[in-house]
Amino acid sequence: MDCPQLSSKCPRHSATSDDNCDLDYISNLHDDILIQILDKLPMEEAVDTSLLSKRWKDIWRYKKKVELGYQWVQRTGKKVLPSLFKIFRALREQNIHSISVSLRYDLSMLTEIQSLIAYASVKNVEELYIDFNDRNDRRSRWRRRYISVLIPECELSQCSSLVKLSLKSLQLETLPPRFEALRELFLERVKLAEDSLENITNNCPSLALLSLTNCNPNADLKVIIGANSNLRCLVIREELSEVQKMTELCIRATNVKAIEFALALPRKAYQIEGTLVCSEATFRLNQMHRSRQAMRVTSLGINGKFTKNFLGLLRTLRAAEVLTLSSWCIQVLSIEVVKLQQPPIFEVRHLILETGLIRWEFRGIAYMLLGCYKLENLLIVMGAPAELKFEYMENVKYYGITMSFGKILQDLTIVEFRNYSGNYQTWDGDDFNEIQFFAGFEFGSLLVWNLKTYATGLKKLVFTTGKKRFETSQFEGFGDLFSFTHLDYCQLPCVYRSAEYRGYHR
Amino acid sequence: MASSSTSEQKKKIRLKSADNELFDVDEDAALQSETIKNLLQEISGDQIVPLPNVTSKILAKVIEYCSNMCELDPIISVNKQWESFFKNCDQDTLFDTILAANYLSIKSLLDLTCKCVADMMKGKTPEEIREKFHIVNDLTSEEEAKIRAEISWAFE
Repeated sequence: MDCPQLSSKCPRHSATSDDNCDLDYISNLHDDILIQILDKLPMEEAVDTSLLSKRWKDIWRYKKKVELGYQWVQRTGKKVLPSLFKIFRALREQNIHSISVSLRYDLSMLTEIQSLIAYASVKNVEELYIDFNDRNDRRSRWRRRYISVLIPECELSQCSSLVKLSLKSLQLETLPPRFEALRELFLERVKLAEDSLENITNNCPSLALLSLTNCNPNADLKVIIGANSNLRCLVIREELSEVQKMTELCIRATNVKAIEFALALPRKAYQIEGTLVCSEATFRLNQMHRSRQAMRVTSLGINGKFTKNFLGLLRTLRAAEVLTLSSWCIQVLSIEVVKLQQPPIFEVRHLILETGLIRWEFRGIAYMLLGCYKLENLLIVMGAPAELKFEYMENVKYYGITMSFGKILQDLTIVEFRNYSGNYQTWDGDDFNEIQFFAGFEFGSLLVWNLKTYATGLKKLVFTTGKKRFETSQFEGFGDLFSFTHLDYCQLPCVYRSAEYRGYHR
Repeated sequence: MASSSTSEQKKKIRLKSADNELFDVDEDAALQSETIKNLLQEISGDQIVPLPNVTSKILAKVIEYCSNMCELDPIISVNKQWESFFKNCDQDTLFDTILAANYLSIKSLLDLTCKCVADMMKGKTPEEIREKFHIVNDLTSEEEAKIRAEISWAFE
């Protein structure tokens, strides 16, 4: 037996001299709170707490979240699935909230997986996560595999409690029509047949969110949302390093209200079948600049299909009312401005731009502000910019029709700048300092100047940090221009004149 | 620098802590607490909401958290700063905040503080956890052996 009275043998009063610091606060907490704390620990550590004291002996048995993975194997030397069933027997709670299992699947586990799903329905589990090919398992080299597991047909009961289902690394033909309450489905590295998603969305009447991460990485992916589906939100997350570049993605999602493209657009082509009338569109392509190809800018723009696919999707989704663009997208739009490509007419009322507010992003921001003639709210989320290299573009002259824009931003009423990462996070009372707020974001004040000058109906300007928020409706003293030298192309309606103007003077 | 604040127009709620200190709080911030929401329905008009279970020190922190949460977009990690605050504060404050969050039923704050405690336990042996939280081991050696046997299906 190893030294159970350690704490009383070596009393510690070193760092703090707080009188209360030796009290056992934690054991005096109510059971419900202790259970909540244990729910945030992995199973192997929660079981260990039974050795703390009498108070703790059985608390872990009331855990509502069960999480087993390679850590369990390392700690106990036992296999995941057999342990899982032993844990189920040891738990005393009638209902279990969530089960999360990560393993390396082989055929011998099929019946256990099926009983796991059956058990989940008996215990009214609301969230179920299964990773069939755990990358953290270091016992053998990880290889890309897609396991074919038949999700059992409706035999015993309806799996009516399950709200959230997350499956990784398997082949999925369809889900049987028994997941009545399922609202959120997350599929990662899942191999899908052409009609899989159509069947799944038709079979799950409550499904509202479908998230696809690196699905069908070596083949075309058909994202067809069933005609009877109530799906509202579709998220497609793909990485350049995972998905084969020669494949295509095809989307038919007529009734979907919100669509998000995250990480990257790695595929050769993106096709939209039928109409795609989303009221909310998000392009959070913050992994595009990690690929060399997607960041090399030549006199023609970015090499290859990257720009074309993004611009095509953006044009398709121009009727969205809420639009979010990340830094890479904004930089691509800057290239469009240099190439004198006019923005389409957007229906956007709420625009969210995640930008580094650097020189090269200003034109892209201008592109959106000129195209969104109905804009009411603008939110600028400040962060690190993407790393496109623009040296080529600087010296290229494009000739074309110069565009002038008359009245712009007439409906814009609220602009908010958010800076959660800067050093300047708080200030005394209303003593806000704009220069410090924009430190490291060279074009921040310039944008403020443009907005207060051209958006004549602007009512409110807001600056937010992680700690504080400053609002003002009087714009005098904001966006002072003394530090800007290239005034001509820094004015919103004139950004399209700059290329020709510079050429003319040389 | 020109400024204007709209905070004057917001409706305020008056809270009274255990040690009889009064706090004027924006309504949206106060309504993050289910308990206060329910209390407001019971008492009429502009009465003071008494919170006999929360000290002024903790209540001030809780109010700061709540106003932060309704001012700022919770999707982006404001939570991180609060997390680091709770990880570095003394256990006294941390556990009193847990009790307050539980009593006031502010789910996100209870979640956050419980997570901080769980993170303090993570990766530690039972002995280390006991030392960290000053838990006295009242198990006799027979009892401990019995528990070890009970959980041996997992570990041996």
